[in-house]
Amino acid sequence: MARYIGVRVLQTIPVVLGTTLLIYGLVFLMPGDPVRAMFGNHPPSEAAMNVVRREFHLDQPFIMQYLYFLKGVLTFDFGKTFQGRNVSDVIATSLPITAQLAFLSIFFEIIIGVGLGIVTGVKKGRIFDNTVLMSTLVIISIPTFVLGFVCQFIFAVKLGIVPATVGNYIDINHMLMPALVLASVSISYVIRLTRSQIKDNLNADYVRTARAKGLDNRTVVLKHILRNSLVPVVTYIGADLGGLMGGAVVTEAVFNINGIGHQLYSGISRGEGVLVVSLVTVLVLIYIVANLLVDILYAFLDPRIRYGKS
Amino acid sequence: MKKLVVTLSVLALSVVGLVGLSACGGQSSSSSSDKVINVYGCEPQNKLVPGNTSETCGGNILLQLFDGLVKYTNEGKAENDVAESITPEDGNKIFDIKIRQGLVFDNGEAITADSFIKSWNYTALAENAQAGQSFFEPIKGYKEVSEENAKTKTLSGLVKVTDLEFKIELEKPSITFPMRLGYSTFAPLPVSQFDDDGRLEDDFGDHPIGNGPYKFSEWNHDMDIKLVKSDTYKGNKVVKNSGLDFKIYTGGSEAAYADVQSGVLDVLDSVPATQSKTFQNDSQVQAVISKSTNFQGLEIPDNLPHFGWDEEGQLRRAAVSYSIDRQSIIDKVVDGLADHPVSYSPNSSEISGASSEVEGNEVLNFNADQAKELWSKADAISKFDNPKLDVYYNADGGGKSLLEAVANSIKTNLGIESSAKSVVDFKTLLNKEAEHNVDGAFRMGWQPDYPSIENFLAPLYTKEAIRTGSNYSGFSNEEFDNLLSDGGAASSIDEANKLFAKAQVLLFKYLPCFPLYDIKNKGVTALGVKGMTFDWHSVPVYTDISKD
Repeated sequence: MARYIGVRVLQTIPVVLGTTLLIYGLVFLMPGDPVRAMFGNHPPSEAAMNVVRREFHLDQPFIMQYLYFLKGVLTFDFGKTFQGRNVSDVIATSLPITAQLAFLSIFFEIIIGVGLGIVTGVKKGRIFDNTVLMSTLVIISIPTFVLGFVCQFIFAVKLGIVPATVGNYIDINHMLMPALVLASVSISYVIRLTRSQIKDNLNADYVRTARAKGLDNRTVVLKHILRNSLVPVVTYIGADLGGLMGGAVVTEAVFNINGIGHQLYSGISRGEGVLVVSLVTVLVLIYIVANLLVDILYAFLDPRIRYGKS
Repeated sequence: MKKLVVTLSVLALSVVGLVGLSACGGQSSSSSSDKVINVYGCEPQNKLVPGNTSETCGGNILLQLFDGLVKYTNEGKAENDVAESITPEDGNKIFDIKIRQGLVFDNGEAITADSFIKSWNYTALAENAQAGQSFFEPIKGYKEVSEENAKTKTLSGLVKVTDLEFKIELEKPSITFPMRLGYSTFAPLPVSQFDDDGRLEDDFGDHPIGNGPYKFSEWNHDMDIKLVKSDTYKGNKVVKNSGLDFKIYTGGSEAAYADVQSGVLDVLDSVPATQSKTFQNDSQVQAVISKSTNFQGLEIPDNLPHFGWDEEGQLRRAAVSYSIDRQSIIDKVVDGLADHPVSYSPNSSEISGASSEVEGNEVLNFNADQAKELWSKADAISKFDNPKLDVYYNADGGGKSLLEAVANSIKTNLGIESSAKSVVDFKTLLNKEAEHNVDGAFRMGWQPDYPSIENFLAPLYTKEAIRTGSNYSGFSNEEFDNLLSDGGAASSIDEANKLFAKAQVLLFKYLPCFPLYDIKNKGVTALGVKGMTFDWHSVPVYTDISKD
C-alpha cells in the first residue's frame, strides 16, 4: 500500500508540470495586453508601463516567464498579483472558503444523494421513487445559476429564512443554501447512480443467500447491498470534489462567495498568468489527492481490490 | 457501515440544529442614530494610493479618505477645499496655491505644501508606474520625469514658496486647470510616508493615511473595507453617519441587489440589468434616479474605408448618425432610463460649458430620409460596393443589446449591412482600438474627470490624445486643436466655453463619434436609509447618508 501511494505521489510531478505549462501557455496566448488594460482610459507613459512589464516579466518570452514561475514555486514564492498582494495570501484566504463550500456540498451529496438513492432503489416503482426520479430530472436540466437566483429570491428575499449572500460571513448559516444549490446537480446524479446500483444488486445471488440465512431486511440492504453498490458512487463523488472546487464560479458569483472560483475568473479576465497558474496548480493537487483517496477507499469497500502487488 | 450511517445522521442533525439556531440570531438591533452604513463596494484594482487609482472601485473609497485642494459641490462647481486660495498668474500659466492652516492628516501630521509636492512628484515619475501619472501631463517638467530612465526625478513646475504656499507652472496656459485638482490623484500625502529618495512606503496603500472626512480602518481583501468617521477632520464636509463599510461584491451587482432587498446592504449605487425594469416598483427597496454626466456613444475609426475625414466620409458619418433611432433605443434597451443626447456632453447643469444649442446637433435626431439622401450623395462621390458598417462591443461589458439595436437601426434605416459583433473582453477591444485595428464602429462610454466641457473634448478628439489619451477614432484637426488650446488660454471661463462650443461645431461636422444617449444614475437603498444622492461624478454622497 505504501509503495502504491508513493508511486501515485511521484506521478503527480509530471501531471503538475504538464498542466501548469499548458495553462500558462493558454493565459499567455490570450489576446490583449494586460498592462495596457490595467490602466484603462488613462494610460501612463510608455516608460511607466514598461516598469510594470519588467516587474511581472511580461517583457520576456513565454518560456522564460514560465521558468520564473517554476523558480518561484520551488522557493515557495508564488509571486505577486497585479494588485500587489502575495499570490500565496490570495490562495490562503480563498481556498478555505471554497473548501468549506465544497465539503458542505459533498456532505449533502452523501446524505441526501445516497440516502434517497437507497430508499428509491429498494422501493423502486412506487410513487416516492417516481417523484424523486422526476425531481432529479428537473434539477439536472435547470442551469445552476437559474436555480441559484430562484432559491435566493424565494428563500432569502421573499421568505427571509436564510441570508441572500455570503460575503464575509463564512458560517454554516450563510453557506447552507449556496452549498445545496452547488450540490443540486451532483445530488441528482448520486441518487440515480445509487438507485440503479441498489436495484441491480437486489436480485444478486449473494443477496438471496443473505436473506436465506435469515438476516433482516435492514442488515441486508445496509451491510451487503449498499457496500457493493457504493464503488461507482464513491468514484463519482471523489471526482466531483475537484469539479466542485474549481467549477463553483457561477455559484460563487450568485451568492457573493469570495472563493477560488472568483479568483480564477478575475485572474483570467485580467490576464494574470501567475495567479491563474498558481490557483490551477492547487486545484490539480486537490484533484489528484481526491482521486488517490477514492482509489484507497475502493480497497475497503471491495476486498477483491488490493494494491501494491503486481 | 452502520457506524458510518449513524455518524452521518448525527452530522445531519447538527447541521439542521445550527441552521435553526442561527436563523433565530440573524437580526441584530441597534437604536443609535449614528450608524455605520453598509455600502456596495468592489475590490480595488491596486492598493489604496490616490495617485495609483484611476478606476471607481478604489476611487470611490479614496474620495472619502482624502480631501483635495478643491472639492466639487453636488452641482459640479469646483470650490476651494484644502486650498485657501488659488490665484492664476501669467495668463493662467502659473497658479499660486495657498493652503488652509490647521488641517491635519489622520496621523496628526500637518498638511503643507510638501504634502502635495512630494505626492505629485512621486505619481508623475515613470519608475513608480502610477496609474494617475497622465493627470500631471499639463505641469511643466512632465516630459522629463515620464521618460524611460528619467534623470530628473521631480516636476520642475512645482515650486515651494513657504510651508503653506506653492506654485504650479504649466506647460501651456489652462484656465480649467484648477477644476481638475479635486480628482483624487491630486490628493496630498503625509510627508512622513516618503523615504529620502521620495519613494512612498510600500505598504502605505494597505492602510492609507488621509485627510478626508473618513479614516481608514481595515481592509479584508475581497470581503470588505471599513472606514470610520475621522476625529481629526477639520475640513468642510459634514458627516451624518459614524462610518462606511464597503462590502465587496465579486460577482457583480445581482447579489448586492438581493442584499439590499433583504436589508443587509444599505446602499447600492447601480442596478443590475436583470432588475432594470422592476426596481422602481420594488417595495423592498427605495429607488434613486438622477441625471448623470456620463454618456454612451458610437465611435467610427478612420481606418475604415469610405469613412475618412473628407467630404465622402463626413456624409457617410452623418448618414449613420441620422439613421439611428435613439429614442426608441432608449425606451427599449435601457427602459427609458436615459436622455436623448443634445451635444458632445450630457446637457447637465453640472458641466461647465454644457449646452443643448450647438450648431449642427440636429444630426443626433433620427431622420431616415435624410440618412438615405446623405448616403447616396456620398455614393455619388465614391461608390461603396457591398456597403457595410459593423458595430463592435466587448462581450464582458453588457453592451450587446445596445449595439444590436444600433446595428438594427443602421440596417433598417440606411439599407446597408450592419451587425453587432463581440470582442471577447474590454482589454482586447481597447487594444484593438488603440492599434486602430477594429473593423467597424465601436461603443464608447465617457465619464469626465472634471466638470467642464473641455474634458469631453480634449481627451477624446485632439491629435495629442491619439498618443496619450482616448482618441481611438484617429480624428486629427488643427482647427479643433487650436480652439481647445485657445480655450485653455482664455482669460475667463465664459470665454473659454465659447471657444469649446465652436470646437463642438467642428465635431458635428466631422463626427468622429456621436453620442447615443446620456446615462442616468440609478441606485437603490434599503428601506429606512435616508439622504442618498449622487454627486456630479455619479458617486453617492456618502457623508449625507443616514439610517433609522
